Amino acid sequence: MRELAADRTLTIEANDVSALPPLHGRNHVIGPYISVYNEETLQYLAQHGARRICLSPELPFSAARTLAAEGRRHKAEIEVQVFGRMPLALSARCYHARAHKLTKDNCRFVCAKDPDGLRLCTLDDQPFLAVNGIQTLSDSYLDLAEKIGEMKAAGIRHFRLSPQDCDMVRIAHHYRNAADGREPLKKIETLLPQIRFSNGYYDGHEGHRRLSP
Amino acid sequence: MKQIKSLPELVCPAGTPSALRVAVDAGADVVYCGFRDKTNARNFPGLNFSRDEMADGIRYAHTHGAKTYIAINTFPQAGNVTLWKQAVDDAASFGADAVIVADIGLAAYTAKNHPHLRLHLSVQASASNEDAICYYCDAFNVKRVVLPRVLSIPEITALNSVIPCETEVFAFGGLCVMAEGRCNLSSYATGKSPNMNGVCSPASHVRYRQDKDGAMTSKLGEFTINRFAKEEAAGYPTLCKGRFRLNGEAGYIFEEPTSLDALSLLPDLLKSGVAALKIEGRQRGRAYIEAVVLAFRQALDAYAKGRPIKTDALINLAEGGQSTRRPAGRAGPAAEGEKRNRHLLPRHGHEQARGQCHARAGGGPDADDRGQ
Ligand code: SF4
Repeated sequence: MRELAADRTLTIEANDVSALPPLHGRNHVIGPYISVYNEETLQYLAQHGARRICLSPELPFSAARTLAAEGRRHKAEIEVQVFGRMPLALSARCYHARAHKLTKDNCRFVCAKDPDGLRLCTLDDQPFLAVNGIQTLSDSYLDLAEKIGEMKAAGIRHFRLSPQDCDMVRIAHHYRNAADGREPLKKIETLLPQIRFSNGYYDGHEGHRRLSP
Repeated sequence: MKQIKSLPELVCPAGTPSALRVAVDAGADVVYCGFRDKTNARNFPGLNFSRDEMADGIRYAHTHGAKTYIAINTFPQAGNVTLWKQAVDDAASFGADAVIVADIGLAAYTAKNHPHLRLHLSVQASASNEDAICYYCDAFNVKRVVLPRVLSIPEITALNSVIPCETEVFAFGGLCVMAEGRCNLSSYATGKSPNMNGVCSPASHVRYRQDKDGAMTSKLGEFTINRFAKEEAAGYPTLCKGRFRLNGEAGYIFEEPTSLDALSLLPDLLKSGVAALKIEGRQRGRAYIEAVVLAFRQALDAYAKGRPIKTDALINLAEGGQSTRRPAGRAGPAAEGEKRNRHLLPRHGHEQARGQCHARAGGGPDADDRGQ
C-alpha cells in the first residue's frame, strides 16, 4: 500500500481506514466502504487529501446534496453510484468458497465462475441478494438515470457504473446520455429485460424498491 | 496460586436504569449505555436513557465503584450532526468515564472539544488491523478499540503487542456476521439500518406467517428470512442469520443463528492482553443481565485466585435462549435441504479458525444480534 501511495501518478480509492495513513496529504478517493455520512467526516477526510468521496448506496439524495454542498467548501467532490448491483456488506468469510465447499485459502478462485455474482434467493425462491466472494450485493441493479439531472443540479459531478456481466458499452452510452441531459433512447428495462432494477434508497426508502420518478 | 497483574474490566450492557443497577450490583466493572435517540446502535422502543436517567445512572455506578461508558455509535446524519455532538457534550458534562464512537467526524469533534474525555472506538468502526487502529489512535487519541469478533486469540495477542491503545473484546452475546458498520443489508430490506437508525432488522418490519402445514415463516419487509417446521421454535429474523438458497442448497448461508459464549476460552483470552471483556445485549432484560454478569464475575474472580473456571455456567441460559430458535446440537427438521447443507456450516476447517473468532458458539435469543 505504501509503495502504491508513493506513486503519485495513480489515483487510489481507499475502502478501509487502514489505507488512509499512507494516503495522508496526497490526493485520493474515498470508496463506499468507508462510512462518510455527514459534513464533519467529509471535512476531516478532505483536510487530509480526500478529493472525491463515493457515498454508501444507502445514503438518500438529501444527504448527498448536503455533502456535495459541504464538499465544495473543502475541495472534495461527491460521487454516487447510478448503475449496477449495490455493495451491501463485507465479511471475513468467503461465501463463494463456502458455497462451493472450499475453504477461503484454497478457493481455486471459484468466484470467477460467476462474473455477475451468485444469486441468493429466499426460501420462497424470491431473488434477494448476490454473493461475490467476501462481498454481499443486491440482487437488483441500481438505476438512477432519471435522477442524474437532479444530482447534477445539486453539484454532484461523478456517477459510478458498477460493471455487470452485460453489454457495458451500451450501458455506458445510456448513462452518458442521461448525464448529458439527453432523453434516453430506451428505458434501462428494455436494455436488460431479465434484470430487476431498484432505486428505493434515493428517496430514503427500502433499497430494493423500484419507485417511479 | 497463579499470579496475574490485573483482571480485565468486565463491561456490561444496560438498556434501562434498572438494568444498570442490576449489572453494577452483580459485579460489572463498567456499564455501557446510550441516550434514548438514534445516536446509539440500540435505538429500540422503550430502551435507553433520558438525560436525567443517564446522570442518575452514572452517579449510581460511581457510588458503587463502577464506571459508565456512553455509546454514541451511529453515524451522524448529514445536516443534523448537532444531535450527536450534543450527546458527546452531555456525556462529558455528566461525568461519563468514556464515550464509544464510530464516526470519524464525531471522533474528531470529541478529541477537539473534550480532550480529557476518554474516547473508545466502537466495533461499528470495524477497525480490525494495526493500520486502521493506529489511524484512529494517532488522529483522535483513541484510548481503546472494541475489536470486531472475526479476530482469533492469536491475532488479538499479536495486535496487542503493536497497537498503542487498549483492546476490548466481546465475550458473550449476539454479534454481527458481516463487517460491523458497513452493513446495508437491513436498509436494503426495510429502509432502516444500523448506521443511520441504530437498528438492524427492526421489529416494526417483522411478520410471522403460519403456513398450512403448521410451519412458521418469518419475514422482514417483503423477504422471507426463515421457515420453521411445526415442532421447531421460530427465532427472530435477523437478516444475516436467516435461511436462504444459494447454489441450489438451502440453509444458514451466512451464519447459524448462534451467539457467542467465551467462558471456556477465558484463560486464553485473558493471556492475550485484552483490557476489557464486553457482554453484548443492551436490549436484554434484568434477569439475563444479572445471570451473565454474575457468571463472568465469578469466572474472572476464580481465575484471579487460580481456581478453575466454571465454563458451563451459562449453558442453561444459552440453551433456554436458543430454544426460541432451535435446540442446540440438534439439526431439527428445519427447512428442506438444510441437512444437506450442514457440512457447509461454520464448524470445521480453516475458515472457522478465522471467521468464527475466539469463542465457541453458544446460544441466546437474538432479538437483535448485532455487536456494538
Ligand atoms: S446483524 Fe444486521 S447489521 Fe449485523 S451483519 Fe447482520 S444484518 Fe448486518
